[in-house]
Amino acid sequence: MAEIKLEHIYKKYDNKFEAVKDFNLDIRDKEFIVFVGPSGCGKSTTLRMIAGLEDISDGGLYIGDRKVNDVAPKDRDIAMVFQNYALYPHMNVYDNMAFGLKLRKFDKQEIERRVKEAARILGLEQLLDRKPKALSGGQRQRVALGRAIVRDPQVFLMDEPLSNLDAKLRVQMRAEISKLHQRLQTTTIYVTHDQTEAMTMATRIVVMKDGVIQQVGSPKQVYDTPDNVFVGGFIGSPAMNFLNGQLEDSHFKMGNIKVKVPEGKLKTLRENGYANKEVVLGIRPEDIHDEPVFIESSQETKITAKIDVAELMGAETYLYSKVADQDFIARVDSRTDIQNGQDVELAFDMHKAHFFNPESEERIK
Amino acid sequence: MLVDKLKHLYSQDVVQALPKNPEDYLWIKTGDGEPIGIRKSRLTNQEETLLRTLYPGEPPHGALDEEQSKWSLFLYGRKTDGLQIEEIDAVRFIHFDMKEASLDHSSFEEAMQGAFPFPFLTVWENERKGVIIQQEEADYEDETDSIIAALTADFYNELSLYIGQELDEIKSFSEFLRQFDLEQKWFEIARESLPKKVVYHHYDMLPYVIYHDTSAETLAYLTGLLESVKTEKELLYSIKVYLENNMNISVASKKLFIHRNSLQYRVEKFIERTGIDVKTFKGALLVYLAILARDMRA
Repeated sequence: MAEIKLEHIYKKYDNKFEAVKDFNLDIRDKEFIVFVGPSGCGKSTTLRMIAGLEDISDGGLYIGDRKVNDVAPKDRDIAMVFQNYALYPHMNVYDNMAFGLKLRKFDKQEIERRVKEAARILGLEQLLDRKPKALSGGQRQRVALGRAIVRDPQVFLMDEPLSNLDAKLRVQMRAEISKLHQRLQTTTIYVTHDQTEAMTMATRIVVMKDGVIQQVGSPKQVYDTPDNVFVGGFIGSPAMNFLNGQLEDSHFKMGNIKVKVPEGKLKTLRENGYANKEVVLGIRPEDIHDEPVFIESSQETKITAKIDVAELMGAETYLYSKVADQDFIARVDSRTDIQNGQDVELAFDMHKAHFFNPESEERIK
Repeated sequence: MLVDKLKHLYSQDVVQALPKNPEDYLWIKTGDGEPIGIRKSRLTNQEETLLRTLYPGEPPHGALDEEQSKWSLFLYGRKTDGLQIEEIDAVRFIHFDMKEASLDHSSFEEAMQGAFPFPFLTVWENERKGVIIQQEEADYEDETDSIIAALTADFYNELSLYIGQELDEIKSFSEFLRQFDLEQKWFEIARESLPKKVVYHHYDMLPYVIYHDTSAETLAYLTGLLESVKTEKELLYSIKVYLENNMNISVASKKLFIHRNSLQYRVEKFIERTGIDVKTFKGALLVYLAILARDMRA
């Protein structure tokens, strides 16, 4: 069992800089939690506090029922995987994987059993005699994972383990780590700045900014109902579009352009006192449509836009345009052949849109 | 600190590294876990009993081989006993410092054997710090981050390395010590200036050393250069990244995750606002030092 509880955790440095502020989170046994956010948001610092590599300035950290603030890192029963391969370049794969166990005085047979088992799980059996230099990037990161697995810890802590790999390998390793988690069921905390990794691997995502948790939720929750402008903009690629305007009667008005707001959303906005007030509309690129059928049925959310750039991505095309002088991107099916400079009709799926307070940037709900 | 007080009392008879004859010393341990030896002949029975009771300790871990003892005595004791300058086998000092003291030295040295491709000697200054004396030239610099990560994962203890200058041209003991002391000082400056980094190279350190050694007047001049843009954090950060990437717009804009035109615009805006042409070598040098001075003051 490895439940982890972080209660009102703070990290303050001597220069008074607060890297992490009032961090509260209950991590359940076997969960795959991803901390995601831009660099400097405090995600790695939080991970390092859990590892014991950074002191906790304030608050309580519990692994299981035990408060571990003052427990030495080596006694916390955790294993770490880092961005850099974390291998000894002049030890072979077997010795690299065995070294941590040797340090902990495991007997030779147990070491061999564990290393061979981990090598089998990771497909490294044929590579045990090789030195890291003779391995590919993916194989090296598998060995680094193997070094963590052989410890059989209560918790894995992974700090951007895939960011050194090229894009193709990253996708492959992403799936491998997920499979590994399904198999080992070890509680895992994974840090990344890559929202795609967060979305595809996590059971729950913790979005952070400036040392503060912005939202905690399943990937779908965080994507579909972002709590604020930051989360909406950070999760999803291309990012959510944000358009400034006013709520006027039952419409959202940007300059001379008006789009109808559905009744349910209108009710919420009015109840919260936003009638005739400034609001920010958040709409994902895939919720702006160019299909004639959709446009036909959405006359009141239809706009005509001049396409600045149409980027063919394969199955999809990204359309870059402006509405009332504000940039937006639409993600449409590539079956429509749209050229740069062309005027096209697009319609917003306002049922999927969100409204945010322009000052607090919180979602109006 | 205890060690300073003891040095004040017993001066030359206080050691922190293992001397040639450790049995002649009473070994005590400070609150930081650092062992200190005091020559027994300087202590009365009463003093010895008192120190032993208050600060029980042991000599630094690991029996030193003859070569390590000689180097330890030379670098930390300033004595050249047994060392012959023409027999010295050292191409570089790699200084190391660990966050915690609770490390088994022999396991650490074993890990280092797997880390570095060259023969070396490890000489410990205390329970946390020491120096690796590299004895053959080898290419390993691109592996240092991986080595540090491996050591952190295994020992749960963070290590920093300072990779010093080549020692090829050094021909006398005093030059060795001068080089060693300079590197130790620069390592301190490096850790103070760039606490998030774990591997430092001598050739990266000069701006930080200049900052450290610069007068308050000059620092005020440098930060004054940025007065017109002092609130524009993003602009200053962009310029710093631009300078650190050899003023290459393409590379720097990729690192900043912005379009190259945006960076180009920021560079022009910076020049217009400050009047310093950051695209020239002299302008770049001046601005880099000014940004550094500003960052270090923050």
